[in-house]
Amino acid sequence: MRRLTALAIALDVIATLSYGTGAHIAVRYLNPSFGAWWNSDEFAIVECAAAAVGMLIGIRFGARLVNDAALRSRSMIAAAIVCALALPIIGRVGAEIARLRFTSGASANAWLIDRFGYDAGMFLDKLLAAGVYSIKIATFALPVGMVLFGAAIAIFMTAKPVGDTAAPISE
Amino acid sequence: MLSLRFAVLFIHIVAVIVALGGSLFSTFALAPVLAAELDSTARLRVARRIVRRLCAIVLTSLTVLVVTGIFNVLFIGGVSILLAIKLILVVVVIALALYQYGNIGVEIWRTSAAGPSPAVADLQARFRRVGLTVGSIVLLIVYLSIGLTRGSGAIVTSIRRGFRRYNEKNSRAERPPGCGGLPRSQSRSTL
Repeated sequence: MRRLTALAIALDVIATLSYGTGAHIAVRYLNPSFGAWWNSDEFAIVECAAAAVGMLIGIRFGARLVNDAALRSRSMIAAAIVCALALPIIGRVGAEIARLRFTSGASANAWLIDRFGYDAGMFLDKLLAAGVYSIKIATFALPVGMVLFGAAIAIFMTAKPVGDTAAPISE
Repeated sequence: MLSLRFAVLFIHIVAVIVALGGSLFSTFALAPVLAAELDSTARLRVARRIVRRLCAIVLTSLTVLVVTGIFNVLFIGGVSILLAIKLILVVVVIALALYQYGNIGVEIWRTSAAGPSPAVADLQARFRRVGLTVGSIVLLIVYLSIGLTRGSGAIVTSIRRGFRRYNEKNSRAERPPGCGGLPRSQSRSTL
């Protein structure tokens, strides 16, 4: 689970930086066909990787709160499978929510242009927007990962109580 | 009445009722009655089964709550400070519920297999305390939700209404006596 989380974080960071900096142009220069594919899909990769990061962190955070090792590992695996199946939907819904405007606060665009000049400011603004977008998707996916882990715990506890080594009292 | 938004909101509210109502019923109605009516062995036997069932009910309700809550955010169409606070509290509630059932609940189940003991009583008291904390935070979330969907809007509407009445009163007072004032349609458009 740790490796999976690290992989998702690495993919998210690479795709976000690539989208923010427009690195697909360099990729196109090196390998035109891969560059074209990367250009058309990098945004979807940002969305899915960010959602995966959020859900995996949610599952791991939830797992830290559970005492029983057997219940924890079973629930983590089940929740990770459900998260993988639901990833396109959660990525899409998370992206929709991440596009919603915050009802208060100012845009950083003007400040960045004022501070670093027009070209550098616009570049940094796009990079910042991509980073914030990715973080927002991951933040909304975090509780989803936690509740899916919780649902897995509920199912496993109801189906067969874990950690019940001794015979229950006349049950 | 039969829109998707309405259905999602209805399921969201039902999930809150089930999660909160189940916890409150077990804490304030069931536990005192069990303590008064049953001997310790029978009470523990019932309590063991309740922990498992309540775990399924509460954690499933929380799952439904989060999923429908995300759709509600989409329907609201904006993120505010109030919503951000609510989301943080939701994460806290899920964490506490996982700790309550996945940690204390499992420990109660494991320890109580041998029969009644002081350790089980301590765990049950801790289970109730965490449950009450979860219930209190859920009530706070419900309060914030009312503010999110009704409160702020209602406040803005009442302020606008107040300004409208004030303007109407002032414009009437400024009119010279005998002047009929503006026609109703015109006066409405200026306000």
